[in-house]
Amino acid sequence: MTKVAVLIETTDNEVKAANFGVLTAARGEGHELYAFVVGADAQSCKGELEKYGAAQIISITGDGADLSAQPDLQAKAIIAALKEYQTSVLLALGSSKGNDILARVAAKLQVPLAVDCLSIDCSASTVRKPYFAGKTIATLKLNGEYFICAIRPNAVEPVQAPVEAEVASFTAEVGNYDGLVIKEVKKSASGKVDLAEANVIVSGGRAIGSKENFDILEQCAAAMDGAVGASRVAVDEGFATHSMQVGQTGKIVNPRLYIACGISGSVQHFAGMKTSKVIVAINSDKDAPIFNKCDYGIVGDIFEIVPALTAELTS
Amino acid sequence: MQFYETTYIPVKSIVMAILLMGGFGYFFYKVKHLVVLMNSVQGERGYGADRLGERIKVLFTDILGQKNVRRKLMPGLAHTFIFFGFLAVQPHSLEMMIQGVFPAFSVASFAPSFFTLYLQIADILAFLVLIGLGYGLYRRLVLKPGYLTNGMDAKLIILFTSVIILTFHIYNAFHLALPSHGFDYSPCFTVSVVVGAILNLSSWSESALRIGFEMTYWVHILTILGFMIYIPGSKHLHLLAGIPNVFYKPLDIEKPMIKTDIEDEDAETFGLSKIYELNWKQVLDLYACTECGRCEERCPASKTGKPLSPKDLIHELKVELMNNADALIKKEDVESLSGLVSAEAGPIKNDALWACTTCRGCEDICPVNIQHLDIILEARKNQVLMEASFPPEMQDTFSSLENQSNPWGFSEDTRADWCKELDVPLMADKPDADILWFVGCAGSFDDRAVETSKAIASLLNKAGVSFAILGTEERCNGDMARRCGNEYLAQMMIAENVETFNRYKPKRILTGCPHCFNTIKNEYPDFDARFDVVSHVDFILELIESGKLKVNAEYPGKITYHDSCYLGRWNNIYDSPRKIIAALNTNEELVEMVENRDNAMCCGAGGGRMFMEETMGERINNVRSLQAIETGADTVSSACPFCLTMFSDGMGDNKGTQDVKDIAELVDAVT
Amino acid sequence: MKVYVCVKNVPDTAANIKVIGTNGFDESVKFLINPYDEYAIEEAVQLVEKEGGEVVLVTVGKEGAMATLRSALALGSHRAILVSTDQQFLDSADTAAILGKVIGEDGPADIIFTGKQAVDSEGMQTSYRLAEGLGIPVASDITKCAVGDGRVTVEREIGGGEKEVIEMTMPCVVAASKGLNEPRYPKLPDVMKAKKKEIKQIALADLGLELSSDMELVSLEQAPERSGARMIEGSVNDVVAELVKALKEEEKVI
Repeated sequence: MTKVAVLIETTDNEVKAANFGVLTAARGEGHELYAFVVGADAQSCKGELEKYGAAQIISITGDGADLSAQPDLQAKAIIAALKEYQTSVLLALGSSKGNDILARVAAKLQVPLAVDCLSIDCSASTVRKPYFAGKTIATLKLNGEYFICAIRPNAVEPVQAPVEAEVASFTAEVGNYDGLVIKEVKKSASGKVDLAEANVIVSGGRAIGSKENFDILEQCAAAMDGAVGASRVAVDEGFATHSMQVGQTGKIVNPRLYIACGISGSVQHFAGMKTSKVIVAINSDKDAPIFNKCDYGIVGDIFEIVPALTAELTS
Repeated sequence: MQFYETTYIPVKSIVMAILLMGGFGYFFYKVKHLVVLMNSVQGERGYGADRLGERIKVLFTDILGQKNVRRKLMPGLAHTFIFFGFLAVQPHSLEMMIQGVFPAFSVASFAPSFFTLYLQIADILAFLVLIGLGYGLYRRLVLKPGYLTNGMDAKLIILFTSVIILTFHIYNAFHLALPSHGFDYSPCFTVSVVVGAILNLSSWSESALRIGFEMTYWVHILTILGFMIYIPGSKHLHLLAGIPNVFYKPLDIEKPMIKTDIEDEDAETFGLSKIYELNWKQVLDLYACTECGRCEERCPASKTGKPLSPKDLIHELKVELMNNADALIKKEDVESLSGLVSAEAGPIKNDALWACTTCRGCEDICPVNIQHLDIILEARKNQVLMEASFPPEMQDTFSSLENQSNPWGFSEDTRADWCKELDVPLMADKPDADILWFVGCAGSFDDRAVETSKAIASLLNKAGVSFAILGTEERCNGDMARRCGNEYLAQMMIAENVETFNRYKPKRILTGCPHCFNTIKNEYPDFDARFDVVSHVDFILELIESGKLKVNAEYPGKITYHDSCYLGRWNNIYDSPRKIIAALNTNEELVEMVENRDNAMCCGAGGGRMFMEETMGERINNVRSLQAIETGADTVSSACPFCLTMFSDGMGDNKGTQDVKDIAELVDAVT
Repeated sequence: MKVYVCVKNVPDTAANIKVIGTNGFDESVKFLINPYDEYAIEEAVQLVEKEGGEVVLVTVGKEGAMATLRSALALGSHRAILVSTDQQFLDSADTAAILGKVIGEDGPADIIFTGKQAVDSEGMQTSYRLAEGLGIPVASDITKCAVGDGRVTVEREIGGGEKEVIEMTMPCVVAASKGLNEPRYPKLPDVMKAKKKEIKQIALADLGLELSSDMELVSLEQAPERSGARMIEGSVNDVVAELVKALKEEEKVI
């Protein structure tokens, strides 16, 4: 039986929901699942984790340093845990943190790593992931002692498989390392997600009508951990700031999902988001040029549809 | 009387001789300095007196005929009066000067009937000067238009000139009152006689008349000499510089941008960065400027609150030139002179430099044919090539042009996708097509412009024209990169298109966009690609007039037409689109916007501005769209994809309800 | 300071990628510097402009990489090293080993910059393997970098509007993200000068490395062509339900 370890990402001792999809993928065909928890109270995570099949929950600590502030030591600790529990597969959420830790682990173990996976096959040691920003899907075969993958958040639908979990502690002898230390975590000035690298952008045009109405888009974007953008017209009218402008003379963005609300779709705007993987257009004008360029189109009132969309996303 | 003859006249003679020598001497010294300065700048460009016959004709129509000056009617008339009157008075003043030194000299003595005729004409023309000057004062004291430089210089000139004319009349009046020596002045002066009556000269004693006569003489002569010395340092230098500047003007409306030799390994700099890099003709431009402000009045940037004024540009450069005259003439350390373009200081501010839409309104209206764009475009070249300084939003546009040969960065292999479902052959499949239709970036990628392309394709097929497009072999024509100063990128793209053209050797090239039209027709020859290029408006008119396209319906409603700069002022095409519209719309007459034809206001997208942010003042396209709305027409038509976008946006912003259509779309709807 | 920048020659993100055969693609599209590497180059050049030293570009690539290196050299770097290979996609462990060897022999490096990921294979790990191989620290997704006395302080994006402030000892590897700086536009004189800058070409075989190729690209599939917009109709609730379902299950973008 294959033993699979899943590195769990937590916020304030709570398991991030996106981990459940990873756990689901980890379960595969009768795998023995180990949930590695670092820097959080494993007991408080037990309830959520066991719903998704994590029979063993291992709380990993270091013998000196705080592993949350020391990613290299955390990687070493995880490696020690992999060896201790003989887990030959290591999965994690393909978030910024997950990618970082897995890369360190893979580099130290000198085994291959696949990130941003859409699906994995443990028995065949293959993954499917995008190449060329999603224009193609690559199937990769990883040949190594360990099969290590970071899974794209929400790529795998979470399915419950409740078990009774056991919680154990593991202290890795990793010592200290002063080559790299995380000094602090800052919130960005606006507290908002930056447009430049956002995976999801909800954008508004002239039809939004006012600065206040942009809040509707903020809420929708927040539901997807996304950022809010604006067309040039919306910026001119003062509904949004120039830093939010998407387009030829604003920011060029390449999100996975771009939702254009009340934007007509001039070529100047389109040039700024043309590499978006999926474009959704919501506009009350059925002849708006953007409908020729989108993947999904909805003709309707943005003030009805967007809040409904937010509700659907948060339900 | 005795004192007069024996002492005063000889003294006068000596004094006059000294004054004349001094005055003229100083005048020529100053003019020579100006000529030396003009020849000391190091810019190289050939300006020849080619097509001499045409140039001499220009001297007659433009200088003597004052044709361009009268494009603005009232000031133009006033200037024509001043010009002719002033000219008319000169021989008389010359005679006065010679007489001052040689009292015996008198034209009347050897050509009395000619002299009489001359004086009759001169007297009337001189009075017209006063009328002209009166209007000038009215403009400066009452109307005070914003674009008119209204300083001391102008007022002094009006003062000088009025004194000269008035003393001319008064002097003549004295001639009438004084006993004459053999020549009868009475039939000569229709105006001066009135002056004499006003001064009641008939009641003056002879000695009083003599004194008055001589005093008038001195005032007249001293004013002329003073004026003469004043001219080289004032805007009245245009008296001297205007004539050669008009003589050397570009004779054709079509004007390619200067081709920079970027392969030149010895070149230390490209484009225009410092004052010493101007060429002599550009210095002559600076000298010739009359500060009339017509360029500023025309400039769409000036009109909408941008910091660009073509008049100020010329003036600031002139000041820069004069301030550094010594260094330039001695050729001392000119490289260390500060650059012309900077963010805050002059002479050319960054914001002003990039505000230009290259509409050529300034060059078109200038009565002395100053070529403002040569300066602006060369300065942009320097900023981009040498300083990599340009509005930051252009960086992505430049990269897109370089990597995917279109300004928006769409994948170049989708360039022909717009006509996938249509009957549009490729040159690769039909290399013998009669027409190579160069679709252009907008026509291929911009949804709105693609509608125009589809209309053109439909018309070509309806008319049974043998045509083909380059498809993915087509590159951006290079206009945008060039107008934005990126000569390196532009030449790269032009070279690729030239290679393709030379491979296919098309019989005729049709363009759907005036920018493509202008560049391929007028600038590609510099790159060894000389072809018969026709714009879609001219070609559609040909098809209609030859019967290949038959109009079978009326295009409904009133139509107004916007003259795109790159068809109109850049290529003198104003009539073809109007003829087309007349053919489509026989019930309604075309409604003209208040500013039309050569006076048409730019839509604001040229000069790369389409891809830059407009952050200052009003939006040019909004102002122009308002003009369209004000015509009350149902449809605004144009013949350029940029204009189309500008009007569409402008309609939206002004909540206008007019349809915005390309000429091709109009024709396609009714044939 | 001796600053190395590892760059990759990749297809323009604006280009359409056409899959050929099982795992190949049409390489006749426009290739250019990996966009994230541009930020790396700019950071390196600004650092050396301030502190003195040289910026050396290192790349592993095919023949086409030469032209890309020339463009990159016009941005202020001093010289470049190209390790020639015949494949666009190399196992990142192998790439890191090659880069490490070259830098090791040419160096020592004071600091190494690279982009956080390549826009074609998007492996996001070469910088980590390079650092591990050289025994130095690494931080990725960097949007701010300050080099002090033997220490480097960086800010790393972790999503949700938050950043980590990280301190590393030098030498180290900094993997740049978008927004680290404003990459400059090349001036024409620099483009001309770049033609004469040194690009040392090394054949892969001459490095004497044993490459593992533990990661195999088994196949590449074209993402399905968009046939036009799918219009979603119905009541507001139906419409959003259908949209969210499609985005989650079919598109997998949320």
